[in-house]
Amino acid sequence: MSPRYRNRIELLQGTLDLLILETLRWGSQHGYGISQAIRTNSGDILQVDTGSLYPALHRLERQKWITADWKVSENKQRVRVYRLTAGGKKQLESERSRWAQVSDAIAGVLNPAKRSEA
Amino acid sequence: MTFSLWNRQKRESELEEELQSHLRMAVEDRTGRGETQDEASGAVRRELGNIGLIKEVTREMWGWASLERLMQDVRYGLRMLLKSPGFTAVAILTLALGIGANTALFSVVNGVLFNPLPYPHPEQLVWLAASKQNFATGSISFPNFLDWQKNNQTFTSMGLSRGYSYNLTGLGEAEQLRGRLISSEFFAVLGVHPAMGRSFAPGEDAIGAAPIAMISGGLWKRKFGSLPEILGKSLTLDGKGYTIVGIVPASFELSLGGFHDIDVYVPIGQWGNPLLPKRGAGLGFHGIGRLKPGVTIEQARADMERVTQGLAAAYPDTDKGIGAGVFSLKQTMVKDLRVFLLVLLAAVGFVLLIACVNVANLMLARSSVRRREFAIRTAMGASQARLLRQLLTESLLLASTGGTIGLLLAGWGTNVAIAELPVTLPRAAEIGLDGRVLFFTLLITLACGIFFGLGPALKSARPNLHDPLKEGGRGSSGSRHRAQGVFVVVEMAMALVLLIAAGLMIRSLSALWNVNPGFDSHNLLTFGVALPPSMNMADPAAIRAALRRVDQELATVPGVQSVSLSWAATPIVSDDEDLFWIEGQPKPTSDNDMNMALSYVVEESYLNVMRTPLERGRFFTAEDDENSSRVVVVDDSFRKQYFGDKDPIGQHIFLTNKGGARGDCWRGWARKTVGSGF
Repeated sequence: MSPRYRNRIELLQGTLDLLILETLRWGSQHGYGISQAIRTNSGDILQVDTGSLYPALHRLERQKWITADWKVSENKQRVRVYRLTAGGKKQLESERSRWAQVSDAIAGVLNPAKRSEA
Repeated sequence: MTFSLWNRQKRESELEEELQSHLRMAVEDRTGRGETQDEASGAVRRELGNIGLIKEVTREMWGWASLERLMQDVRYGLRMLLKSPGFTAVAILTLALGIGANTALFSVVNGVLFNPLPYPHPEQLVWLAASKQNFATGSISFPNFLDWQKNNQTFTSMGLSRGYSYNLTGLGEAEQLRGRLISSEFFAVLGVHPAMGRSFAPGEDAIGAAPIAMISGGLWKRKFGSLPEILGKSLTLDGKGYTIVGIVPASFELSLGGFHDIDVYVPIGQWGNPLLPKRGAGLGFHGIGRLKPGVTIEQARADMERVTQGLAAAYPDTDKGIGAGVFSLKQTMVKDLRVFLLVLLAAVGFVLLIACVNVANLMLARSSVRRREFAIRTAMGASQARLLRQLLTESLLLASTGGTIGLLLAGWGTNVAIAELPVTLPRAAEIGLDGRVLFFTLLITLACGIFFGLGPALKSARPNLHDPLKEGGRGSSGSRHRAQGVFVVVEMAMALVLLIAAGLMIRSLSALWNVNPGFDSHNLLTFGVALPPSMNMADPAAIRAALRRVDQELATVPGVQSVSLSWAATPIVSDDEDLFWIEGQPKPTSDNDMNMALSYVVEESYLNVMRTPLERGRFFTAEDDENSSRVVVVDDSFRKQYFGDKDPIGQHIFLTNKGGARGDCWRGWARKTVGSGF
């Protein structure tokens, strides 16, 4: 594995999982659709690397947080569609609250004055 | 997740399809935004990066990736090895020889040095001897042994034994059997139970007890077809009937001097030797003992010190200065072999190292041929770790194939090695390929694979992408040559060490061969003869006549140059000592103060047969018989020790044991025959 990909996966791991699960909360979706959704919803800021997306999808599938089925898309193409499982929903909740904690904490560090007021 | 090939292939094609659909959708999006098909697909491919690597990283998420990758590496490795059969054959053969030699020798070391003795609680077993003035491991007299047995406080049990050969008659052709006189507890000490029947009960080894015997499983099978009705039957040994009471298991083996291939065991008390009840007699008995649980050898030695001091006080005439030697039974068995075997093991270890370096060199040479292959694989997205793993897989494949063949070689070669060793190996029957040997083989195989694989692999896994692709695999790299140079130097150094060691060994060996044993062993035969049991009660004159007839008969055999009957003479099968004092000196009051010398009983032709030159004086003649005045011949070291510069010829010595022509002793004295012929 080249360092280039390894670094990205490690950097994005927790966050990418959260983004994928969140995207799937709104309905089942294929890999390309997920990457496009994340891109669009982040205002074109977050571009999910394909080399990180599919390993993450397959890992989440193995952890049974999502499942996959082959379906035929609107363009009459066979696509692999991912869907959130009950376990995945729970995982999403905990990842969300963890993310909230982390972002609060980071905000606190970046903005000490605000914290002392509170 | 279960691993199945079909499942894996399905997932593989699904992954391919998934990525392809991703690609297609991305291209469609771009063409939808107005890009041309070519622009779109080019941009998408750039965006995507290395598809092979994406697949590999994704596959790793499936969980069986490592196993699958290993399979892939093995398959690829096998293909590569088969592609260069010459290299593969040489490497495997080299390793097989190295690993085989090491496995064979380790199984010997393991069987002889490491494995515990095959008896219950082997750590409690000791070997017993009587220590005398100049002799740490002298024989124990029967009366002393009985007192040791009675008075000690640290032993569970003690046993005594010595070898004895018997003439078996009444069962087909007469046969000489290797026998053993043993005390009743002998087998109980070792914890060996008879395969059938019983062993001797306490008291059955006493002088005057009823004649009974145990026989070996081998003799039982050979002479009695393993029939169970054998118990209670009579066995005729030296013309006397012994009731068979038990069968010793065929597997029984005790690696002590003279203990191999024993066919018949008889209680000590059955020995007709008049010296047996004498406390001062040295009749070649040695003992074994089992220490009480938790007792150390040092404690046993202290205890036996107390016992023997008590005996020395009670019987100063015979027991003064006699102690007890207590030695670990296992160490007694393997004695000097430890160093010998470990040196051999180190030597074959060096051979293996050289084999490894050789193979490493071959691998390195081959890696230059494969540089292009590695460069291409790197360009295709293979990481360094991946290449390293691939190369190590290949070298481990080589090593394990070599190891397997080596194991087969060792399984066959161990027996050959045992037969070729210049010494009779104790515990030879216990040598084999057991779990520990297999583990050892596995270990050295892995070590070899990594040792000879890692160096070249590290070199190859860091390929310079540019040159090999451009030059088509030509060109040279300085660092590779440096590595090869190191290997050659290491190899030369080790080969030199081995060469020197081998040279030294050969020198010592030739020195050993050239040691003058004092006789010419060329064309010299030695064998035992025994008179028929009917002669047991014959008078001395009849026995002498019979032995002289044996002499004459042997001398008429075509090709025989000369013949001499001998007793306890070189080549020594058993020894005999005489106590003596020299005329002109006062006769010592006790046997302990007498001088002692090895004594041979031989005929006039003895020096002729042995081609031993006579320094001075004369040797025996036919006239020196039972009626003439008694004469002895002494050797040079005897002269130096007892006569110094004085001329010993014509002097007199008094031998205590051979005072007269005691017929019952003569019977035994002419058993060994030395003949020379052809």
